[in-house]
Amino acid sequence: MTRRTLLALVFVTATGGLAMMATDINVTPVVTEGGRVVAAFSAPTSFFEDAHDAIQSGVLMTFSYAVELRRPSTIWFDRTLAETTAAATVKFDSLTGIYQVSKLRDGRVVWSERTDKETDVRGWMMSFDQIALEPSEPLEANADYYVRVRLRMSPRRTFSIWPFGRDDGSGRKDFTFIR
Amino acid sequence: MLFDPPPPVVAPDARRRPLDNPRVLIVIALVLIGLLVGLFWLSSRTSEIPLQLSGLMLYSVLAVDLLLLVTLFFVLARNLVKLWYDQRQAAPFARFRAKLVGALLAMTIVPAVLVLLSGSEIIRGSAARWFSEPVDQLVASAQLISSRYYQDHQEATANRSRRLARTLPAKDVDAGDVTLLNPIVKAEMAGTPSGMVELYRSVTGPGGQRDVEFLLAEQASDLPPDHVRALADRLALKAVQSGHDEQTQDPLDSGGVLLRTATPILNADRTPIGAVVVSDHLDGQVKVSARRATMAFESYMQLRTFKEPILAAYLAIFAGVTLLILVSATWLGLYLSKRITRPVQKLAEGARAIGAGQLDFRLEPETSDEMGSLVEAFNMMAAELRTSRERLEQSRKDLESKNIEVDARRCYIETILDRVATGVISLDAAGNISTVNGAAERLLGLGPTAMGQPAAVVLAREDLAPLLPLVRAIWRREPRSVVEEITLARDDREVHLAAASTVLTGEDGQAEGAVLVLDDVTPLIRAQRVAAWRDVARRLAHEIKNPLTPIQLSAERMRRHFAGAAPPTWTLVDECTGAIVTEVEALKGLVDEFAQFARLRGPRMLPVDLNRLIDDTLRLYGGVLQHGTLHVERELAAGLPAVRLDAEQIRQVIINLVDNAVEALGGPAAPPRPDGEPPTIRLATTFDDRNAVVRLVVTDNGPGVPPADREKLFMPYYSTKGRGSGLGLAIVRRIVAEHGGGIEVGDARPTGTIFTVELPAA
Repeated sequence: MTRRTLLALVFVTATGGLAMMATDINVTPVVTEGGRVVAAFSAPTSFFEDAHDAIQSGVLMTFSYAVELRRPSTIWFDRTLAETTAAATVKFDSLTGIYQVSKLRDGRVVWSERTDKETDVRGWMMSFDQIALEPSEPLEANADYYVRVRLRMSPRRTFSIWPFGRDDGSGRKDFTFIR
Repeated sequence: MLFDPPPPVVAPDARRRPLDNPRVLIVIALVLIGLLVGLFWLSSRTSEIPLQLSGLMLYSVLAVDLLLLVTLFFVLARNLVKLWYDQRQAAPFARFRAKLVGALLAMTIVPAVLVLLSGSEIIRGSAARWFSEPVDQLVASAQLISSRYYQDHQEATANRSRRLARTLPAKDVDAGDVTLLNPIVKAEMAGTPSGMVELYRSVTGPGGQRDVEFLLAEQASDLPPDHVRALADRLALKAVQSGHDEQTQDPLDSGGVLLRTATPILNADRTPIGAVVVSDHLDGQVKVSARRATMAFESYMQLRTFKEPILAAYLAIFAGVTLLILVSATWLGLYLSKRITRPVQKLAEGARAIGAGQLDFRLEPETSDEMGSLVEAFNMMAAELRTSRERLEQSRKDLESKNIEVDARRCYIETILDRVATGVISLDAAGNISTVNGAAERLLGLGPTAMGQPAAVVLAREDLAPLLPLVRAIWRREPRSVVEEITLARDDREVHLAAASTVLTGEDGQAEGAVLVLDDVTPLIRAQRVAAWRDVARRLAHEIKNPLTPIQLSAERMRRHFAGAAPPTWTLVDECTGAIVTEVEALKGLVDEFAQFARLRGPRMLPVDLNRLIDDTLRLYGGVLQHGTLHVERELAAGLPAVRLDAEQIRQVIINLVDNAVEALGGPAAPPRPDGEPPTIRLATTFDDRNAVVRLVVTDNGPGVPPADREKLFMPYYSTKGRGSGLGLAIVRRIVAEHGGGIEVGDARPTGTIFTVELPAA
């Protein structure tokens, strides 16, 4: 995808954004020329450290990020305009000490790499960019939107009776679309 | 066959459900068994399932657990509420079902919960023992050895690759002079038992991108031939592009693995101009052992890392099995209680229906076991009861028709008995009066209270006392039948009865009662007397009248003969002959009356208005009574029906009765009565619809007739006046009798006499 000069200026309301978003995952949304929103995000390495033992056990570990472009509503539920899922899997071979890392977009493998360097693995698992969100309707000028990223790691080391709605981490970035 | 029976009513079985079908139960049991086997299989394979799936499986099992728990509570709550409601409604067997379900639940829940608790603790304890320190060390050591072996080989290939990269002349590599390079590579391979060296030169591709060109390869003789050159090409290019070593492990189809290290060959200014790839072969046995150790290590570490969800899965499966057992046991308890109580309940309902008279009620056997046999026996009993009921019903109808017939016959006989003039009294074996017909009541003056009373007590009455010897003779039974003529004095008159008593004996010869038959022969006796008197009158008239005429003629002759005699003699003769003639005339009149009594003709009956006849007759007394003191009053009933009678004879009856009353009062100029009342004669007529008779009542307030003389009043030649023939009332009785009626005399109140003439209405 060609990245062109932005037609719109993304104005991030610092106070509101800080107040509304979670601090786990740092999200950076950018509105492109075609009206798409391209998001980049990075999760703190603490998540990887939490999953370190599980990864070292050789299990196929998956970090799944649900990325949503949403419009807030004061009287009703926030409306989701676009959503996609980005995921990264890692499988450590204890015999050779090699990590096999793959990145997936909506269930399709888009990238794969082998390495014996854990720092590279950490970067690949926790950082994503060029996550395109195609809104179902054109963005409205001077309207507020936000991009929310929710992380779910599997398998989980802990057990909860209630299987739904429990994210391992999340992040949110509010912005006002100014044409 | 008495009649066509209606089809039997089969007990409605609205509660029959699919679960009562044994096939459905077998299918459900198989499904449950399959579910249990599946849970145990899952339990045994939990560690082998990928952890991503184990989470899903865990929540699936938890969902099943939740479903089972809800089902258990629903089944328990529903049935507890139902049992409570049944007990409140006093439904049959509700208490028994509650006890049965309670016992089964107690037998199931307590052990199941204990097993669940103890089993959970055992699982937790076992999980804690899985990850002991010695096991940790053992698994880690095995993993360390295998990985170290791999890494040592990898390091060795790296060292050889680096050394060779430094040894190979950069300009020859860059020039691609294989002849110069080949001896160096062969020298490197000389001491290597199983391995391979591949040499590449860096080139620029058509698009300007960096690529590598294969120069030569040298391999050991025992290296498997199934390695792939392309992998080495890719690794060399990667090393050229990165400028540092690149390593890879390429598994071979023959089972071994090729450990490769690519080292870039640098020129003087440190630019990669090629790459050397050194490979070392590990045979399959080593690789498999190392991989096995690694897999065991990884499995162990995964178990350790994911202990909590795996343990939860085990516990969930265990809880699921327990809940499944509980649900099954609970349902089975309820089902068994229903299976036991429902047939009994249906039997009870059937018994109630049979008891209520619904004999065509039938139960449908659900099983062929003992309960089915019981239902069959119940149905047979109901059928037999129904047959017996039908026979009884038919017998009852026969008996009823016979009773109706007997009742009709009894009514007929009672009617006859009631209508006949003969009195009939029946006595039971104890001598009590059973029945008294109307004639007997009338003859003996018995009331309804006589029924059931001892005959000896009832007949002990003074006027009925002459009957007692007859009743006593009955019980002496000697002879068996007694006939007597008995005269009773009732109501100041004599009643002549021909009484016959007969003992009724049963088949065993024992006396079962007696019948007393009473015939009123009073009119017959009266008629006999009248006939006798008529005969006497005829004889008297004949015997007396014949000599009277000669006597009278002789007296008149004597008178004529002594007409010229001396006055004393004439006076004597005249006086005597005058007396003789006068008495002879009187005797002639008397004889004429006798003759008239004897020759009274039979009545010529015609319908006559009795009231008018009375008026016409009383009109004859108009001249006589006009200047007298006697009062004649009439109380003639209006609407009196016509009476068939001989008007002349009944007129004679009225005249005789009125004459008799006038005479009793002292003649037309009679003085007032001692009580100051005027002498009065009252004639009244009434109609007795019930007995179909017309009554003529002639009453006077004269001195009356003494009771002892009343019966004699109607006898010929009886007169209380001392004159006359005494035939007036005898003629009256005879006329009335020949009209089919009767005449009675009684006392008037306060004084006087009542003559009542009854004539049959037309």
